[in-house]
Amino acid sequence: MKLNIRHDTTYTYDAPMQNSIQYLRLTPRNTPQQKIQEWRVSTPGETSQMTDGFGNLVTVMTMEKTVTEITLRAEGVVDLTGKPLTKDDSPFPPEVFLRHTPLTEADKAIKAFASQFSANKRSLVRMMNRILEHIEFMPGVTTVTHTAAEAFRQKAGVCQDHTHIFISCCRHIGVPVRYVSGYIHTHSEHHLATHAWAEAWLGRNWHTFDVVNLLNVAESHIKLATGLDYRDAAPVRGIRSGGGMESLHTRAWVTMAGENQ
Amino acid sequence: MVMLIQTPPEGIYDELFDENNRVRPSCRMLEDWLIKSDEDLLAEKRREADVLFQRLGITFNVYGEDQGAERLIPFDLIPRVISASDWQRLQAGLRQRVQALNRFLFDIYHDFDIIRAGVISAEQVFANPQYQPGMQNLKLPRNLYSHIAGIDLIRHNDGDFYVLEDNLRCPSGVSYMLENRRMMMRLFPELFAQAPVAPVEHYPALLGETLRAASLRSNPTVVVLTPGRFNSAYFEHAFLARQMGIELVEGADLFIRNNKVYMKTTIGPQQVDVIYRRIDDDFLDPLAGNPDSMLGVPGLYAAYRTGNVVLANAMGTGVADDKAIYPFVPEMIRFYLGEEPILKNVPTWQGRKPKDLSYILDNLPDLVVKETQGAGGYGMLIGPKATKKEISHFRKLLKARPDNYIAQPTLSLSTCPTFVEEGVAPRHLDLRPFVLSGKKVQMVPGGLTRVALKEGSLVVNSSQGGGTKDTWVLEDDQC
Repeated sequence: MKLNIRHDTTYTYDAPMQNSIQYLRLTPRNTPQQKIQEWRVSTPGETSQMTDGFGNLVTVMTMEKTVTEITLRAEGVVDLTGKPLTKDDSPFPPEVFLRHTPLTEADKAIKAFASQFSANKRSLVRMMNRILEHIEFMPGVTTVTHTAAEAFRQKAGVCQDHTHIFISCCRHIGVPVRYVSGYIHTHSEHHLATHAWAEAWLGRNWHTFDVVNLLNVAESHIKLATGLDYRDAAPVRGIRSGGGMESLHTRAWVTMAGENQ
Repeated sequence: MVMLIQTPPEGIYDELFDENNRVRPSCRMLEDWLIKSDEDLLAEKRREADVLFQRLGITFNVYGEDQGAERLIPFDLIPRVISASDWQRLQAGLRQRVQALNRFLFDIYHDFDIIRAGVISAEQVFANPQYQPGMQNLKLPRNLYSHIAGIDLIRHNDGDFYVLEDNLRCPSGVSYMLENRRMMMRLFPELFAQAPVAPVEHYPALLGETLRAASLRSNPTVVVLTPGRFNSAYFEHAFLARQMGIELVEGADLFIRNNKVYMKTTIGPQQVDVIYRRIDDDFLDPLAGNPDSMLGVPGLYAAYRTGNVVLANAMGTGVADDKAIYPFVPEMIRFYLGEEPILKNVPTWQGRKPKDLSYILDNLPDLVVKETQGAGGYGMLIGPKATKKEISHFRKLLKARPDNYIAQPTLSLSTCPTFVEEGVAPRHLDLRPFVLSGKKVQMVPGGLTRVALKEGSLVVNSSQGGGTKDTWVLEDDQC
């Protein structure tokens, strides 16, 4: 399946922003599951590249001019092969992904919840279902600094929170699991095309767990970055001086080649 | 009036006196000096030393006291002497140990050989709070991670040195080693004329050489990065920068452009090749670590990953000096170097192992229990000196989080005569040599000797009221 992707991130500042530096994990890598046919990241600043510890491709953007708006655009064409996840392309042994972070640390409630499940696919699928029942998909109630425990208490959140909770539970019961950020192609208009899901290691292979969509295969997913949590894999992470209050607007389109945008 | 010198308690190794209370051959020059010097004269010298230290501004901000309250670390006039032959062995052992630790760090951030071989479990490395996945597959010049290591040693009652812990992040204290020597030479020049004391004054030059060797560029620009004047070791950061003749900078003095680090100067931006950073990993770059950090430089991680700057020490070195990893260092030496360890480790029981845990719980009154993440002598139980209440408190802590603790037998730290209220009395001490890894592994003879000033106390940390002494390594034992 060939997909066209366009992803715009626009920051608007209510005062002039003087300078900014951003780590952009907006470039998908070639894997057995996804073949990148074209890709381009456009920014208003100077850019250079790096590869982080997880092997993610990072565009580093610096801006030293005064502006009140920045738009970052990632766009391209990716061919999804439909192959299942098998061989690991991470530079790490799976055990690294048992490591908790401040965002995934399990509290009492999560531990109690997670201990009903065990380290096999069937049980984890059940867990995924139960997480979605328990945590309503509700944009706007959580932010990127919310932890798994906070979202679990709040019983609401977005794909990032569902993924953090799933990760927190898996690590608690000894299943290595990683956070994935990327895009998804859906026919529904309600879901954002930017997305987050998890991959859990079950002895021999990595397995996809897309909690919000209750999907167990990544047939319509384009992977941008992986890590221990959102912070490692965030598509955009930046810092600035000046600018006052900021508002962020993200729009993404994933369409089948030939479809109208 | 002659000095009244208390002899050491039985069963303890004393650095000055042997078991028959005779002065050791290596310390003869001190015998004459201590015994023949007038008590009033030495008292006068001590006052002089206090004034000099105050004037030099060598103070230490003690954690756990009022924020910003600075106080003087007490300096003791009686030096601690190490014979040439003891030092030779120590030096060989330190070199070996630091080489193995650097090999370990390279391994766990590349191929994981030691984990695959089953010597250390994956969990011990990857669950360690100090482990940095962001370091994976980063190529560092000469594969060096800990360019500057401070290794804490003690001498047990068998007369042998034991490594108590490795400090591979930002070990501090070397400025005291240098100032203590300067002080002694100023107060007692005649002593140095008699004794073949090996010099330490070239440490800043060696450190500078090590830092320049951390980069493969010719004539690299090196800076010292400090969190600022409120840090307890700020004096040392400023001192070392001045001694090396390089810039002392804070995060705000640096910026990143095109994955390169620049320092703002009056004549425009200057590229920085090596950063001797005295800031913890998590604070180096808010875009990679703690997002709230104001101390570091946004974008520094990218500059580091792309090989445009070298950090000394590297990020993620803390995983190798953690108390939970410490018991494995002798195995690392065998694994990476194929050698038998020259320096001994203190036998260690690990709370994470059920068998060890039950031994610890059964023997709490005899053991020293430490938090694996603790530093500076906090979060520690010294069984033989603890009250019943303290022991039962630690029993609870151990049961709640056994993997947070290790235990060791109570070692009898050696003593050395030290000035106290009542005259001169034996006090326990340790030793922190500073090992520099660049083109080769080198160190100045000696290190920082810390002394517990309270009678019987085994806690030498300056943050807990310890003092320091000048450390004399003899160049030659035939005198």
